[in-house]
Formats: sequence, C-alpha cells, structure tokens
Amino acid sequence: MSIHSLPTTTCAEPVPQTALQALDLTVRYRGRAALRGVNLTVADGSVTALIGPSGCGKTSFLNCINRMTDLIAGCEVSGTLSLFGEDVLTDGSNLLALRRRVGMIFQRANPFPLSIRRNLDLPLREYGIRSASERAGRLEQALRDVGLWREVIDRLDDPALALSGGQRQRLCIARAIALEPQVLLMDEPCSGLDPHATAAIEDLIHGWHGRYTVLIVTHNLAQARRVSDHTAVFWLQDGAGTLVEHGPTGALFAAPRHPVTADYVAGRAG
Amino acid sequence: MRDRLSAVAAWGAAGMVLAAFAWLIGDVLWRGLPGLSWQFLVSAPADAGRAGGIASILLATVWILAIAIGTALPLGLATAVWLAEFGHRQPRLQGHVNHALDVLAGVPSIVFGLFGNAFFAVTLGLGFSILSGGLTLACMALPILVRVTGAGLQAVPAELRQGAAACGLTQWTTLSRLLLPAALPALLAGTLLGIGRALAETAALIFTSGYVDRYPGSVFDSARALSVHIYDLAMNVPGGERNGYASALVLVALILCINLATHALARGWQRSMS
Ligand SMILES: Nc1ncnc2c1ncn2[C@@H]1O[C@H](COP(=O)(O)OP(=O)(O)O)[C@@H](O)[C@H]1O
Ligand SMILES: [Mg+2]
Repeated sequence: MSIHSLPTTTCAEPVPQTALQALDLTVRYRGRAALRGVNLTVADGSVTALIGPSGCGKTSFLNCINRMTDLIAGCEVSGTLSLFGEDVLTDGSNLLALRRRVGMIFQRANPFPLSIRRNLDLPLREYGIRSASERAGRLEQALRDVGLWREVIDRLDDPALALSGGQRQRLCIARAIALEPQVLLMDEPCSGLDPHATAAIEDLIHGWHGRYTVLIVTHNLAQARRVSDHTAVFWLQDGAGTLVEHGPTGALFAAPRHPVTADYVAGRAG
Repeated sequence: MRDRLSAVAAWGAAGMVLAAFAWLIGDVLWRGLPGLSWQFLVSAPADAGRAGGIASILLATVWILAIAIGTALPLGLATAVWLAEFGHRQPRLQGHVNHALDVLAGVPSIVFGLFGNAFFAVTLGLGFSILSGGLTLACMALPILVRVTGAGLQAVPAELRQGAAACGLTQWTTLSRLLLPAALPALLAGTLLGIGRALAETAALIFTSGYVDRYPGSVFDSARALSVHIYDLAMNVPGGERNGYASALVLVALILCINLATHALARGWQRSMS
C-alpha cells in the first residue's frame, strides 16, 4: 500500500478523487507555442492513454506534470496544473518532492550506469530512507512488482547496462515505483521493445489499476485500447498541439465525436 | 590516375611523419643511450651538468609537476563543472570564462614565463622558486584540463540527466554519483595531457623556477626542471652534449609513457560510453 494513498472513503458510492487537473495549459519553446490550451481532468487510479501523431505535444504535456520542462532552456509553461489539489507550476513548490510523487518512464530505458542494486538504492537513499534493511525490502518489492526479481536475484551487483532492453525498461519502472509515487508518466515505454517485452509491461499496467494514476503516451492504438480506461487525443491545430477529445476509451474508439479522432482511430489520418 | 596520385601523396605524407618520428627517436636513443645508466638517474649533477647525473633535476621536476597538477586539477575540475552544469544560469559570465580559456590556450609559453615571473615571482614575492614555476605551469595546463573534462561531462547522455532528475535526485547527487564518475576517464586524460605539456615546458620555467641545479630543500627554493636542464646543457655548457642527450632520452621516455597512458584511458573511456 502506498504511503501516499488516502484513507478509503466509507460512502456507498465513492466518487473517484481527481489526481490531476490541467486548465488552459500551454507550453512554449522560445516563445513558440508547442501545446496550447489543454484542459484535462484525470481521476485517481485511472489509466489514461495519450494518443496522436508525432509533434503534437504529448511529451511536452507529460513533461509539465513533473516539471521536466524546467530542464529545457527556453521552455515556458502557462496555465494551471494541479496534482491532488496542489499547484504544480508555482516556483515555490518543492521540485524534488514533486518528482518523487510523479514517476517517469522514458521512451529509451535509461538505467543509471551503476549496478542493478544501486539503481534503486541511490534514489531511495536520496529519498531519506536511512535504514539499509528498509531499502533492501523496498528494492525487493519493487523488483518483484515488475517481475524482475527472479531474473536478477543472483546478479544484483552486476551492471544494469548488461540487462536486455525489456529488462532495462522494467528496471526503470522498478526505480520509479520504489519511491511509491502517486502518478506514473510513461512516454512511449514500449516503442523500443519486442512484443514479448511489451506484453510484460502491459501486464504490469493492468495490475496497477487503482494503485497508481497512469498517463501513457503510445502510438500503438491497440495498446491504448488494451491498457487504458480513458483516452486523450492530441492533434496539431494552427501550428500547435492541443487536446481535441477525451473520454472513456471504449466509447471514444467506438463512437469518436471529433472528426480527426474518427479518422485517426480508423487509421485514415496521422 | 588522380586517385593513384593522391593515394601516393597520402601514403608519402604518412610515411614522412613516421620517418621523422623514427629519426627523432633513433637520434635521441643513439646519442642518449651511452650516457644513460642507473648511476646517471640517482646522482646529482656536477661540473655544470657535464658530469654526474640528474637526480636533483628529476626531483625538482616532480615537485614542479606536483604543484602544477595539485593546483590545476581542483581548479580545472571546478571550472569544467561550473561551465557544463551551472554556467547556463549566467550566460554572460559563462561566455567570458569560455573566452578567457580560449585565449589562455593560445598564449605562447614564453608569455606565460614572463607573466609568471612578473606575477608569482615579483608581485607575490615568491621569487625564482618551485612554487612560481608550478603555479605558472598550472595556468598553462588549465585550459586543456577544463576543455577535456568539459567534453567528458558533455558526452554524458542527456537521458542520464533526465533519469536522475525524474527520480528526484538532487543536483549534487547527480553530479557526484553519476556525472563525475562518467567523466572521470576524461578528467584523467586531461590531467595526463596537462602533465605532458608541463613536462615539455622550458620557456615558462626559465623565468619562474630558474636554473639552480642543487637538490631543492623546499618549494620556495629555485630548482631546475628537466627541460630547462636539457636547454642549458645544449646551449650554455660546452661539453654537455652527452649528458644533455641522456637527459633528453629520459624526457622523451617519460612523455611517451604519458602518451600511451592517455591513449589507453581514452580507449577505455570510449568503450564505457558505448
Ligand atoms: N526542447 C525543445 N525545444 C524546442 N522545441 C521543442 C522541444 N521539445 C519539443 N519541441 C517541439 O514541440 C512540439 C511538440 O513536441 P513533443 O511534445 O515532443 O510532441 P510529441 O511527444 O507529441 O511527439 C514539436 O513541434 C517539437 O518540435
Ligand atoms: Mg514524444
């Protein structure tokens, strides 16, 4: 159980809490808008797929949520973005704390060039977990959660870069979830992986329902349908990306409301 | 036909470079080996260097190098880290520092000698001393060190920085645990290159550490570096050729060793980055 999770409500019909809310979110690079006017509400514990052609701002959107945008020179974010009611974009907010609450998985798996053990140990130490036994426990749990424990149990001190592509990506996922985040941002996490490794990661996402709020960018529409309960369609309009449609995945694929969505999900555009 | 010609020209040029190298090494070996012995390495020079060996000279060289590297290494490392990781917050200062380094890298060594003499020896009152010489060499080695270390830091893939930031690692942890270890081979290579340049340096030392060929007692003593010794035997001491060539052989051997070590490091580094 996540240390961040809130006490379960006792109402008969629990209303899902809002994990993330973007209002008129706009991202500019050197003054040029790349993403404009995004309004999106994401329920706690849900899986949202972000789909749309390349260059329509999906990565930019994810980067706002954990403020990776701060690392990019000339990048400017406006509008509001709140995480469980707390503003994310104000300067005063604690960046390191934010990034521990919001884990990120990249398109190219990027384990640290350290041992498998150190990959998880380093962030956990940084997180302030002094007790070695607690770190070891979290390490084991996270590696079990991503199905890597049995594969690496006898080589925890080997270099992480010796792992296969799929294993590396699962190690990066373990590194993120060892910090017990509330939200996981996944930017095309399977695009470099073979079908077998992709299936393993989809299984993980299935198992997370209700545990983490997941936002996953994918170019694979079948994957979006398999793993998500909500889908958000991004599209280029007037030279900048924007959110054109958002809704429950089943309904959106069955009866798209926006014409570009209809073309995109039918494979006629994008 | 043109292809043939250019191929011949290229081979010819490469052959000439190799021949020049072989001739130089051969000449130094031929004339230096007769004077070289264990005794030569461990005894002090006598009769202005015509007789005796180079023990005090080697000791002085090591001291000067130690001062130079001990100063240039922390300074160069800090500068490279600042330029690569923090400088973008003050782009103007960053530009000035980069510019200063470029100028420094292009300054002829004789100018460093004059500067070192005016600043360290006279203004700071250090006189002709190991300290003046070492600090002057540090100024000379600094640009190489900063550039090579900076290149090492820049070669660290952006994904590593992103991953570290996304995990909530502080900038200090990212630097000390991830970036510096990744750039360490470059730092070592930069240090070796700096040592190589410092070892070969004569002009900057004549005016700063001086000529005295006795055993140095402290860093405030004047002392004679190996390159200065060779220069002196060749130019100012009739009958000093034999020992001059033997000293030159020692210097060439040292520089070759450093070159080989640098190459080995660079190879290891390329392998670890891929
Ligand atoms: N660091 C950057 N600097 C300048 N422009 C950028 C940068 N990152 C992305 N962009 C631009 O922003 C737009 C959206 O990019 P991105 O968010 O990566 O889209 P997606 O992830 O949907 O492919 C693109 O036009 C891209 O060129
Ligand atoms: Mg993208």
